[in-house]
This record gives sequence, structure tokens and C-alpha cells, in this order.
Amino acid sequence: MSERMRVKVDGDRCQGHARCHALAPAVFEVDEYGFALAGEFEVPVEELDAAEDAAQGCPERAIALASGWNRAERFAWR
Amino acid sequence: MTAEHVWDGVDLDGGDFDADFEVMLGSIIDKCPVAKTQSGWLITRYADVQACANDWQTFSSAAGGVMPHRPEGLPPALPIETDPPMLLQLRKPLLKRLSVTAVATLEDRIRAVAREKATALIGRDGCEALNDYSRPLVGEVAFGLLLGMPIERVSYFQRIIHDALMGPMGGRATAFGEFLAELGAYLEQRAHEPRRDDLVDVLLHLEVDGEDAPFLTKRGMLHLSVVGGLETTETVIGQALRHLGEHPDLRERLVEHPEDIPKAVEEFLRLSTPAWTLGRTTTRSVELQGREVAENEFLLLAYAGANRDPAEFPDPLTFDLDRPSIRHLAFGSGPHRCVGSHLARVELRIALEEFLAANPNFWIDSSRPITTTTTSLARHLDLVPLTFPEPGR
Repeated sequence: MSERMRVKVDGDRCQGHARCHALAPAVFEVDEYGFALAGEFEVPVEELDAAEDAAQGCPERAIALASGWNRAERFAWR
Repeated sequence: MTAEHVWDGVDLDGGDFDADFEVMLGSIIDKCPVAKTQSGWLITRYADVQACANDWQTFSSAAGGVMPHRPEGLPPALPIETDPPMLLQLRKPLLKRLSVTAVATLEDRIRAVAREKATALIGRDGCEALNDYSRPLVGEVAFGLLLGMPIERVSYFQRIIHDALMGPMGGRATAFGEFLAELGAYLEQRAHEPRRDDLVDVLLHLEVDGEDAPFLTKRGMLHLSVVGGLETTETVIGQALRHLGEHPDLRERLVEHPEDIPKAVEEFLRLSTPAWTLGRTTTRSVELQGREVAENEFLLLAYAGANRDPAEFPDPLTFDLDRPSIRHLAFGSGPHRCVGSHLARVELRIALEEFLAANPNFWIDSSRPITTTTTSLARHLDLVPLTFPEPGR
């Protein structure tokens, strides 16, 4: 696994299950309605496993992970 | 090859299906994943269920409601029997009230209720998991901590809801009528009382398009708020205690490692899925698993099927605490995702933590039967007799 990872939360897919927040609270924030804050950001090294779990555990497949910093690199939607 | 639709015509409300639920559902998923049952089309595989649940333009919740064998003329349960964009407008006040952060503020009070019910069992030689624990616990949390409905009326509402949803088909319309009349009368009464800021008050002051919502909308919202949190959560707690009563290794692991309870809760949710289907109506003709489904046909998204699909959950009937993927659909998927899921998860975790802390040793009382009720909409656990070892052993 790459040491650096980016994560992307698709706000159109998110339905507010908040599993990401439960599985990786340091990575994913939720708003007052329970929807994950959408966007693209870096995952701290110590949170990589938790972020993987969150991406894998999202029932809407709204979380994608990508390693490295090349913006052209495709996110892997699960 | 022409598929041989072996499960077409199956009666999902019959006693055979209740008695043999796992075997029959497993075979439907495998051999006839889109089956034309007596309650409508049954969609059972994970990918199909998830795709249909997200395609609300094709699979409408408003057109024909979500309940199979829906009593004629029954006003819609809200917000579940609407489609976007009205759906999101009606969901927002509920989402806010039932968000992760809002539910976290209830945790201590939920724990106090659970602890009281769990410690009351200490010293007894056994209990019945539903009547002695999960049903009063879930009822008190829903009525006392969330809705603001009178706790002394919980068991009345639990009974009438059971009759309306799972009772003999011929009596359901009458039970619904009585249930809705009770809810309407309670809303009228509360409209003349000072605000308490509970969920009933939120619904009483509900707005639609910036205007005070019609009474039927408020009552429809209360209808689903009352139904949603009772039978479902009590069944999952009962199912969990049943499983732990049958599997002492797992019970001991959770007693020693309560930090594993949240993962166990997800497996209990996956395997019980008490709202095992919800209905949709097609707004156009579609093809599903090679079968033609015409426009304006009723179909059931089988969340319990999705949760047993071996393509998503290998060895699906095995409870596995170490499953890498637990994106089960017990709370549905798409814009209708269960709005009470966060409360349910907290209740389930605390209910198990407190039961195991107070009563770490128990097993199934095999002298008395475990009973269930299954309809084409819900799978409910009725009785789970547990026995406790003698005190001090």
C-alpha cells in the first residue's frame, strides 16, 4: 500500500448511513443531517486502514480511495 | 437457456415460508432471483436490490406504496411512501432529530433504561428475550426518549401495529384504522398542550413548501415514526440474544471483549433484517435478471435476500465477526435509507452491552419453542426463551 492516499466522498451517492464516520471518525465528518462531508482530501498515514474499512463498508459505494498524488489517477470506486 | 422460474407463485405469507425461511430464501436467490410471488415480484440479489433501491424514477414508492397487500385507501405512511423531491423535504426534520450527533446525546438515557431492564433479570432462572427485555426496552426508548408518547400505551401500540402489519390479512385494515385514529387523537391533544420539543412536537410544527403541513401529512409522519422503531429493533435484539444463547463461544467473547459488540451488531442486523422487504411500483417496463417486468407492477426489494447473497457475503448464513465487508442492506439503500438507523445501532449496542454485563451466562431454553411470524413484508421474532444458570455458578 502506498504511504499516501487520497479519499473522495461522492455527495450525490451519500445517503447518510454514516458508516464512514463510525469506522474512521478521524477521517470522515458528517453534517447535521448525517451526510458525509463531500470532497477530496488526504488520509493521514495512521488512518489508512480505517479509511479502507470505511470505503469497503459504505453501502452506497460513495467513497473512493486513490494512492499517490497524480490527480489524473482514477479513484477506485468500490 | 430458458430459465425455469421454479419459485414463481410462492406464498411469502404462508406458514411454510415462515418455518423454512432460510432454505427457501436461499433457493430463491440461487435459482429464481427475480420471482413472481403471490405478493408481487421479489428481487433478491444484492446488486439488483441496491440498483432498484437507488433508481427511484423507475421504482416508485409513491405510486403504489411500499406494503404488499396494502389495505385499500390507507393514507400513505410518510415519508416512506413518497418519492424525491418531496421525500427529502419530509425526511430532513427526521434526519436532524435522528442524526449520529443527536442520538449520541440520548446514549446515557438509553443505557439507564437498558440497565434497569437487564438488572431486573438478575437472580431469575430465565427470561423470555422479547417480552422481558427487548420489547419493553425498545418501546420505552421510542416513546419516552424520542417521540414523547405516553409509555403506558406502548404495549397497546405494539399490539395494534402487530395486528395491522402481521395479523390475519382480513383484520389488517381495521387495525390500521384504529391505529391511525389513535395517532390522530394524540396529535390533536398535543396541539393544545405546551411544547415539549420531542419528535411529536417536531411533527406538529412540520412545514411543507414553507407552509404548515396538512394534518394527514403530520399523522402520516407519526405513523411511520411509531411503526419504524418498534417491531424491527426488538426483533434484532431478540435474534442477537437467541444467537448468543446458541453460541456460548461468541457470548463469552463478547462478555470479555465488549469492544467487539459493534461488529457483532452489524452481523446481527445482516442476518435478521426484520424489515426483510419493502415494495416499489414500476413506472415503466424493465428487464431484471432476464425477466420482463411490465409498467405499474408491484415488486418487493428483498433486503434479507441481498444480505444472504453469496456473491456479496461468502458463506452467507454463517455469523462471522471478522467479515471484511459489512455493507449489508438491513437499513435499505438509496434515498429511502432507514432514517432511524443511527438510533437503532446505538440501541442494539447498548442493549447487548447491558444484557451481557448483567447476565453473562445464559442459553436457549430448549424445553420451550422459539417462534417467529413471517409475512411478505416483515420477519418478526415472537418468543425466545432463555435460561440462566443457578446464581453463584
